[in-house]
Amino acid sequence: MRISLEWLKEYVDLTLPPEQLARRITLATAEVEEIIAPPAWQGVSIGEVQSCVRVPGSDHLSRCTVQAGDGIHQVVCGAPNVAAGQKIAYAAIGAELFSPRAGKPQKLKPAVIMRIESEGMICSEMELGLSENHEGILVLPADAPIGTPLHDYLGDTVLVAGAWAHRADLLAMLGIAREVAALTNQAVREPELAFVAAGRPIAGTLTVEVADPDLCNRYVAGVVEGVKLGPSHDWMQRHLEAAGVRAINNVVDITNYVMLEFGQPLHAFDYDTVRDHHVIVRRARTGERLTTLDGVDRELTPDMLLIADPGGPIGLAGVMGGANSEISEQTKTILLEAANFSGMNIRRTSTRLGLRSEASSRFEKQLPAELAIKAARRAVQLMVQICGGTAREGFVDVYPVPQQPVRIELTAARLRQVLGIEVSTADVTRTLRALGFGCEWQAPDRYLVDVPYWRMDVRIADDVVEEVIRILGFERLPSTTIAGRIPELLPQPRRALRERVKDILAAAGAQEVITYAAVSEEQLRKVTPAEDLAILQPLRIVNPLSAEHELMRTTLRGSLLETLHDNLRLRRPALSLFETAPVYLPGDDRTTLPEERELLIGALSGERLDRWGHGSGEALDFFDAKGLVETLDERLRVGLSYRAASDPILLDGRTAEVLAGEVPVGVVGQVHPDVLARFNIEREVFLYELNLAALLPLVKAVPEYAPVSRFPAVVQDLALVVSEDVPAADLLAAIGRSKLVSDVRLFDEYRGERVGAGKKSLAFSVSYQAPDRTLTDADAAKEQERILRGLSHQFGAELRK
Amino acid sequence: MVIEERDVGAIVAEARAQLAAAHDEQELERWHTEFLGRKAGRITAFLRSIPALPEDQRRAAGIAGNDANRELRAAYEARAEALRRTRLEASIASGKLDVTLPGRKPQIGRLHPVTRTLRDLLAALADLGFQVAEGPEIETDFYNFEMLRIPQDHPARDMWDTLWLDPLVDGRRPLLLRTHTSPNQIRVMQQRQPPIRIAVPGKCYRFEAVDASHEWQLTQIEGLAVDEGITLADLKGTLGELARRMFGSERQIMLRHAYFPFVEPGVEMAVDCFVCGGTGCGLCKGTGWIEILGAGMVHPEVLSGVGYDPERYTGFAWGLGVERVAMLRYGISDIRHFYSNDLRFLEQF
Repeated sequence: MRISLEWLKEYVDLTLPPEQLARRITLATAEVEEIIAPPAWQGVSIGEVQSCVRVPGSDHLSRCTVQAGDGIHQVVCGAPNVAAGQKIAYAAIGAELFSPRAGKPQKLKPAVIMRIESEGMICSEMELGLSENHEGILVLPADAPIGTPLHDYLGDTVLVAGAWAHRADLLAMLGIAREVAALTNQAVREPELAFVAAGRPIAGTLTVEVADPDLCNRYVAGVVEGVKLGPSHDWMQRHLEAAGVRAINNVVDITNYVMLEFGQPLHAFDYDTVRDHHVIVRRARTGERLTTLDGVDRELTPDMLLIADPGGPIGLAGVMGGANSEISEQTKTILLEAANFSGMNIRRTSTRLGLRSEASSRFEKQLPAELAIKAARRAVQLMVQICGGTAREGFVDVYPVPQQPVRIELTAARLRQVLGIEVSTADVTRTLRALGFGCEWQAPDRYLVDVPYWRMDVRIADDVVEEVIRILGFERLPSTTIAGRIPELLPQPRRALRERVKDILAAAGAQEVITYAAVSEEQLRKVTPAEDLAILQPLRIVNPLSAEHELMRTTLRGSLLETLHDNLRLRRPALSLFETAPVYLPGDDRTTLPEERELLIGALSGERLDRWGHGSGEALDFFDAKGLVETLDERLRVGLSYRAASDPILLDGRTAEVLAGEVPVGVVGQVHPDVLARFNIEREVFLYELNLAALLPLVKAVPEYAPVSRFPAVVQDLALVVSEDVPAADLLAAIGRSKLVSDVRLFDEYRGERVGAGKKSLAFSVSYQAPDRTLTDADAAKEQERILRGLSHQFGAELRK
Repeated sequence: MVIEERDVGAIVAEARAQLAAAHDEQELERWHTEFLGRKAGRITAFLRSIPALPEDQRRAAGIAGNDANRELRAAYEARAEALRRTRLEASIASGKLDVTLPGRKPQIGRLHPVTRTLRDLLAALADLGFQVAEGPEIETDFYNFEMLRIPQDHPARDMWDTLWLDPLVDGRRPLLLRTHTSPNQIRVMQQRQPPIRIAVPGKCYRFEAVDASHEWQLTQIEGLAVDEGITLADLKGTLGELARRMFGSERQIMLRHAYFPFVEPGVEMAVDCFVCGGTGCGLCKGTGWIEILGAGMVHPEVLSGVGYDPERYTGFAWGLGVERVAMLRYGISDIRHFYSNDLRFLEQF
């Protein structure tokens, strides 16, 4: 809402400078987003044209004398409308004005025009920056005081204030005035609504039928005859322009003016175009159409409310009038509508049609029905006064269920319970009354609060509490902290695991990324086989911001590979990225919440770094990715195992399934070059993925502690030759099963001539240790013998010679 | 062989001269073998020959031999020490490092700035007794709106431009991407009885054109406290403590009126500008205050909606954008950096 302070002054005295006023409004009412100060108009003051004669030999120049505050000046003026006796804006030599010719502000210099000296200028609205009008000079009202700086006379500050969804009253000057009055201890002056209705009674000349009263609480109609269309008065045009509304003609301007003043949208129909002078308020019929005032032909649906006559629609209720009943040059008689509609219905209609108007944005906040008649009276009064019309006596007022007054009981205890402070009865009463509420203290403990008709948003005691504290100011509140019991523990194991995983990976050199939860179909297809997509169809956003973010992802792979690709251009020798995020897996019933399964995904690519932080030439490989998973496992103490597996986007033979017991919980492997090509990645990428949700029950928060043995370990190396397809993990596990083996590590793998085709050699470092005695080399050798026999039997392993 | 007593003096003189000429370990050891060696050292030999001397000469020879032995051993130690020192000094001189060369850094990764800021916020809230409660990102209209007093066709819906999911059922879409984490406040309240004191973090989504200050995916933290005796003054105190933990111990806060359908009264909280201290600068747009979050007392109808008695229990709630907090703390001017994941951005945190 644009609030012209000049206009606001008509309803309430302004006792604060604009900045302070804006601050009070921001704190208590709605944010003032901008303060638009008037131009300074340095050197421009009010003058009077004393004489004005045509310059001989010129077709448009006049030689004028202007009485200004500091004496009489001779000015040559080119405007066609200049005349003796006018009050005008006189710019003295040295004034800074917008020059339409130069297109920018210029300092006014003495000039000689057609050999006549000109000391200053009579200004147009354009030169003053008031409008685009440069047709003629700005003529001020006859009572404008000579010598007064124009800034003091015309200067208007506009406050641009935000609006709240529940307060239609703040979209009106009167509503703002009521707030300002309460904030500054002033009284509101409501406009006078009296007028003389010189015409015949309206009864019998107009009938209104509200067919759908559930959508229209009230319909007030008035008729004004003999209106003369023309421009409206300067003051009205100025107010409208300050409010950001373009002046059109006096009748339309009056409807807009009253809407801005009271907040009630009005509509003026050409009375003579309304068939039978019979207005019907009804729902649209299927297939009905209406061309609205903006020239658009619209198809209507049966939940839209219409203003119609017996011949069909003439307006879209509360949203926009119809072109067929629009007032025009020929219009003699105005049918003025001031109605009250269902806010939700108006909102649905305007949303459905994509047509929002000043009217609909007010109606949708639910206006009070009581407002209609006041606005109707005000508009008819102005039409009589300004358009020379004759009002028919009375209004048609269909108002079957009048708005009920609302009384709220607010106890002093509730006020204290919500605010945490005592507020004196005097403060409560004064504050509420200043806002227009009725407020009586009813001993011993409560206030009886009567809500004014325009405050549809105040319905319960806490609403009243808010009125009190926002006007008194939140600085009244002390800063206290919550007393009371400590709430029950709320464990968050999912979050705890996720954050541990992040810490471990970051410590292990991986960079966390966070990518978008919705992705393109194209991206999903790059990493998901078509048959999988068909089985598990991702949830689709119906109004995506772009095709890039249309599907709720069912995998994190595409996002991570895309991020990896985006960072390749940085030419870093090595990249290690990870993300933890949910994937969204719809169930069979796609109308219930999907499973949000939390996953970890990571990718590695590049080379190991040398002493200088450059690539060493040694490429990262499968085991770097696996090492990260093992590091996680070590820290989370799950006890994962790995076995060769296949994956749609990973290379066979370089892919391991990650298992917790027999439960698959993830995968690690090298991304298939064909898949990488879809992401324009031309280097090897190794990927790991863990299902954190599946891991969660397996994570041990507390380590399994065993006392450190006091007896030294005997370490012996064991080199075995086995068939190539025996997994090293199985050998490790078998060796580790010995009770005397405290630790076993693999330290070499060899394939080649020396062990023969189809074979490989694996070297283990085995620590033997007993909890209760010192083992001798002989003890260790004996145990190794035993282990070896087992391995030979189970895996065909031989000691390497 | 019998060595005369006077020969000891000659041996010592010779030994001293040779010792002074020993310039490295090898020469020193050779010297030691020659004079003090256990097997063939000349002093050793002299001492061994003493028992063979005539009775009357043994004592004097013994004294002279032992003196010589002691003297030469001390000289040897001194020489060895001198040589060690010389060698050390030489090695220090030749192995001088350019200490300004870069060190070998272990490769460490980093957390995303949103994760870091979220953790800081949750840690601050843990201080104040708020426990984390996470909930689903895909929500129902019921939890995201209806239970929060934002009915269908209400203009308040404009405050949360929503991304809707297929399918359409009876003209309505049952699922949406949550626009705030408030729905999980409802879920927690439905499952528990007061006292409630939770912080609800998580991703939220808005139908919002992306520019330097708007993202369609964002991270929020909301706080909720419900119990007997909770007041708006408690909200003010709690938010003040939160602001000081996040933006500095000197921070002051200010509340102003605001409207959110699920609170009454509703407020917005600003902190005094931590760049200019309140005198007005670019960050606070000259106002001296920076808007941080929206808050208010939980609307009684929200409480009764989850089965709490609103006459007995009161509560407050607030919500803030984690990216906004990160932008303010780090001076980031473009919100789009967060989810474009450029390492040059991420590595700065």
